[in-house]
Amino acid sequence: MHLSSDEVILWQSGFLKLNLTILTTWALMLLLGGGAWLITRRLSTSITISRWQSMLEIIVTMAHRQIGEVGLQKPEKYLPFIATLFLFISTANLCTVIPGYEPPTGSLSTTAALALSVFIAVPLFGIAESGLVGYLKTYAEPTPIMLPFNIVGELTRTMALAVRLFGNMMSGDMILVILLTISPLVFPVLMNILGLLTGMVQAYIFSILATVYIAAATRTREKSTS
Amino acid sequence: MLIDWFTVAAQLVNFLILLWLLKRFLYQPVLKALDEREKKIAAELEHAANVEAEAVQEKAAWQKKNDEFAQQRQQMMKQATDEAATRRSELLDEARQEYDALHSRLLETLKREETEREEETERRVNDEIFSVAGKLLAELADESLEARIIDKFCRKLEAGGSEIAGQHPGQDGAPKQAVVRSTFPLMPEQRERVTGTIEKLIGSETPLSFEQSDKSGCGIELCVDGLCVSWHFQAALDALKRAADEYREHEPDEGAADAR
Repeated sequence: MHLSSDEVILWQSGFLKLNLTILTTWALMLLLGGGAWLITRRLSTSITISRWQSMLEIIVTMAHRQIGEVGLQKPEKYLPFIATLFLFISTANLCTVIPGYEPPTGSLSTTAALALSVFIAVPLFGIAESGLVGYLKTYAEPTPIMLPFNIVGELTRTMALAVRLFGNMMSGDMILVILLTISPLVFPVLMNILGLLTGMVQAYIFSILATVYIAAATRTREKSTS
Repeated sequence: MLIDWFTVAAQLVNFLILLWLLKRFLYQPVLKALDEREKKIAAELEHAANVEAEAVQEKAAWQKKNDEFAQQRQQMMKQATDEAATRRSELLDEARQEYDALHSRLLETLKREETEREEETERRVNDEIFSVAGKLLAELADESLEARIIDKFCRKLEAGGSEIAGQHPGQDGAPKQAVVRSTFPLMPEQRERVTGTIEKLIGSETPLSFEQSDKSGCGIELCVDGLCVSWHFQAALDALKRAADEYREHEPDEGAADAR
């Protein structure tokens, strides 16, 4: 019994090591990247399209629309980052239906990495939108007194992102394991289904929060310009 | 320790690689395909709108042409009907005129045929009568009949010869030639009788000549300057003919009255 798939180390050489989290992530990358390549290598621009292309178009257009609904002016600019977060987390969580699979999102390292990526991406998008000085000024708004609180808020929300996803996924796995020992029939299946729902909800929450953070960082510029 | 910082770094790199992979193989191609499809659909919609507009215009043009055609057809039909009516009227008039002409010609023909038939009948009746009368006269003719004819002729001259007397003499005062024509040769005493009667009537200075006529029948006449006084069986026959005609004309009326 282990709390994280990081503990399952498959290969190690000094500082370098290959654990189950990284391996699973590679598998997911192969699945997502390979699947996208297979489907998009023969895209049709006519009225009639294949089912797989239709599925991809639905996913991309829905992500595009969600980003726009949150309030970002040019959704296609943020689409790759936010949609990749959603697709990676949701795919990682949906694959829990595979027996013996341990989602990489159940590892705090993975969720921390994703939260760090958001933590880095938000100021980058903000600076790209309103410049370094303009972005830094947002930390001193509405008054300079708020500067430490804004910095703390920036750090804590990153931690919250990482821990929320990790806690939900890890707890789901833990509950499943515990229930298997108590009630091996039926109930674990229901919990598994609930876990799928939770996984999708968490993927949505993570990506929508990232979108909101980016929107907050870029909207300051829009307010000042208006 | 729940966080393995090597794994965090590796996952961060993994995420960036996945981000690049999906951007390269998913978002860009799909967005590009969507844009192309939208452009294509927009172009097709625009094309459809243009085609529809053209169709509407063509429909309006065809409708206009149809209306004009229908109007022209109606006018042509009306014109043709009028022309047909006029032509019919003309033909009827021509036919009526032709009928009238034919009818009048038929009536004329019938009338002429009737007249010719009547004339033919009359001629034959006359011929027959004259033939019969001639035969009878030829059989009956003798001196006593000729004497009676001359006697009748002289009496007629005495009774109604004033017209002849008025013709003598002529305007220049010269006596006119008087001619006595008879269908039989006059005996000397008969000639004297006639001469005496004529002289009583027109005087003795009038030159008088006697001729024998080749007319059929039997009779004698005196002609002075185209004016004649005669006693001839022909006159009797004419009287007989007139009586026959009067009888023929009155006969239908009497027949109708009898029928009533």
